[in-house]
Amino acid sequence: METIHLKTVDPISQEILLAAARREIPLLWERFEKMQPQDGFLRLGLSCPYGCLQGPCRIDPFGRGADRGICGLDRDGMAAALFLRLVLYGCLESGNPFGISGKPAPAQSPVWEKLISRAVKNFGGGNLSPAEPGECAQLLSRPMADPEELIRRALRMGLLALTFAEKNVKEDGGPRTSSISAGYGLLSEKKWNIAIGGQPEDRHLKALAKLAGQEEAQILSLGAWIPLDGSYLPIVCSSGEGELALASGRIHLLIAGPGTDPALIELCRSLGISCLFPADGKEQKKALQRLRREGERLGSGSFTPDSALIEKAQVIKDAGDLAQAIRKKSPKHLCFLGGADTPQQSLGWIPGEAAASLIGKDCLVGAWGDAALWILKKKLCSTAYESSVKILNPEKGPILALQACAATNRIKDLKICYTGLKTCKDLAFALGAAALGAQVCAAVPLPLWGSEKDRKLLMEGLATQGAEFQHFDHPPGAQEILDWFSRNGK
Amino acid sequence: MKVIGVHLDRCTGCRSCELYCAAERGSSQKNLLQAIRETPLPQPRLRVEGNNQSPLPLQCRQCLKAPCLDACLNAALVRDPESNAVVVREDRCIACWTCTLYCPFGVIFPWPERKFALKCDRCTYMENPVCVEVCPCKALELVELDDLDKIPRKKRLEVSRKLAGQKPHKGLLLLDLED
Repeated sequence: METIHLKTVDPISQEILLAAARREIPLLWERFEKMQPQDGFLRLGLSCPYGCLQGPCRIDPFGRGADRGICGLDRDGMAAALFLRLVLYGCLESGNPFGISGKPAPAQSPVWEKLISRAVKNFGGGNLSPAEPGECAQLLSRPMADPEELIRRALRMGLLALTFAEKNVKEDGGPRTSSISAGYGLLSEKKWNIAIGGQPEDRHLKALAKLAGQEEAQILSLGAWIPLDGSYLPIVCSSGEGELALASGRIHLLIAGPGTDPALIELCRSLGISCLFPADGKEQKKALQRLRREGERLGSGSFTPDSALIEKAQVIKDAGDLAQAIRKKSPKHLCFLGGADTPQQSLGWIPGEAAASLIGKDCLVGAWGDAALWILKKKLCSTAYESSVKILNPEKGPILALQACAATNRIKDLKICYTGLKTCKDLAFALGAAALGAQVCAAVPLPLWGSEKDRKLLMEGLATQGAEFQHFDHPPGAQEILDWFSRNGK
Repeated sequence: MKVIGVHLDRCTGCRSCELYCAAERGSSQKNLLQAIRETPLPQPRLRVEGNNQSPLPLQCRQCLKAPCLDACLNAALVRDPESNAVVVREDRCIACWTCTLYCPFGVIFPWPERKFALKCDRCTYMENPVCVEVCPCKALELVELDDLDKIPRKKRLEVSRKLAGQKPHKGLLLLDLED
């Protein structure tokens, strides 16, 4: 426990972490430490990603063992293919709304169309087609493409992921901003707390909200931004702290929607918390009635949250509003923070430190996802910073930033830092944003370090757009991220 | 005296030990992602030989009567008085490779680029050997020399029981190694 400050920067989370350690509840960090060091070959990109059963082939980075796979694939081809595979998955996670026809993917706005067509010209030309993920999957069936082609394809997949996401996020016709409230204080608001894991369907959520209203309960999200009735579900904690929220003893029922981590379900089992699926309406009702009956025994957790620990903010859902904020403030620098929590870093360290430092530097700071939650926790969304800090719709955070910057003709000033990458979708978005001309940085090592050629290809490819995709060979500290933001006078 | 014991039944041949040994002990950066960009490329002090069916991690056995100590022409190989491990004094090594020829296990390796011999010194000056720390299957274990025998004992017992359960063959000697 002497390393508790390395696990999370939030004092409340540290308190729960200590209590959980005393009760011997195994949490994320314990598993992370047991997993160290993670597969070195894969970390370098030197573990073959092709769909081939001759392997698995790996290349010795120190030149003593195998320098090629069984089929003859070299290290550059291997690392580039692994990179493409990750970005391809990210593109598929974005959900293809156009079907797999070979027709070009139509853009939703002229600004976006202009941005995309200019980028595509630099990365192979032609039209960006929804059939391309299939072509990439075909490329990854056997090693036949050279690293140049694979990296170019990865960049196109990044662009396509953003195009899919832009189309997928439905405009609900409601207000252009939504409210969000977050913090552990939410746990003390109602008698019973129902936590939502993953992203359940809208109809199930509505039914659950109705049920909760009848039973003196409230539904809360464990880190995911879940839209409901034109607003977002209140969020107790960031995604990396979901297990801590469960271990606090203040969650009485978990609804495990699609995408819930297995660890959350397992933790519920070991802590005796009911865990149900979103469609189990009857079971949910029974579980809530049971809670009411057994009330006091289950209701008293070891952790008593301060009800003042709730922060509120408005979430921008429209690029026009963000563009207006940029015009109004006309900041020198446009800095955006996104991405998810990662146990490689102390949770909240980079987004909290970076945002707090950037606000004072004539910057407009935008954020989405976990990074936004940490900014909220740091109370940086209060009225004092209203004009400097903007929280963006997490489903299209980088898209809003790119569209607003394009509309204000400031795309070259745009800097986006992904403070952590959890899903391939985040990686695809980050790469897509760089392909569109933004300066992008990922604060986690990517499996590209096994090939100098691939790193150079990526760097040179993006340089044609005047863009950058910075990634590190170590988990960088907050100061390194700030240095990156400060570079080139930005 | 502590030595590195190998649980052969646990080794999957993933070579993580080699990878991280080279990065931690052979590079100046001590970070895998940075180490692979160093020149000359870092080299590990242990090697995993064999194949998928029977991978075999090999490292210096720290022999009590070490032939390499006698073979070294320049007294570059010395026994550390505290840990009893045989270590290479890199400043004294003249890269004659005599030790590599004398080692009965073939676990001293020439490193011509850096002009000294490489051998496992059990990470004497560190808390724990890197290979032991990083092995995902816990196939490598730091044990007291006297306890080294315990590692294969379980295996011997298993084999003994298995053989005892079979129909005895003529001329086959069955040993019951149970205490």
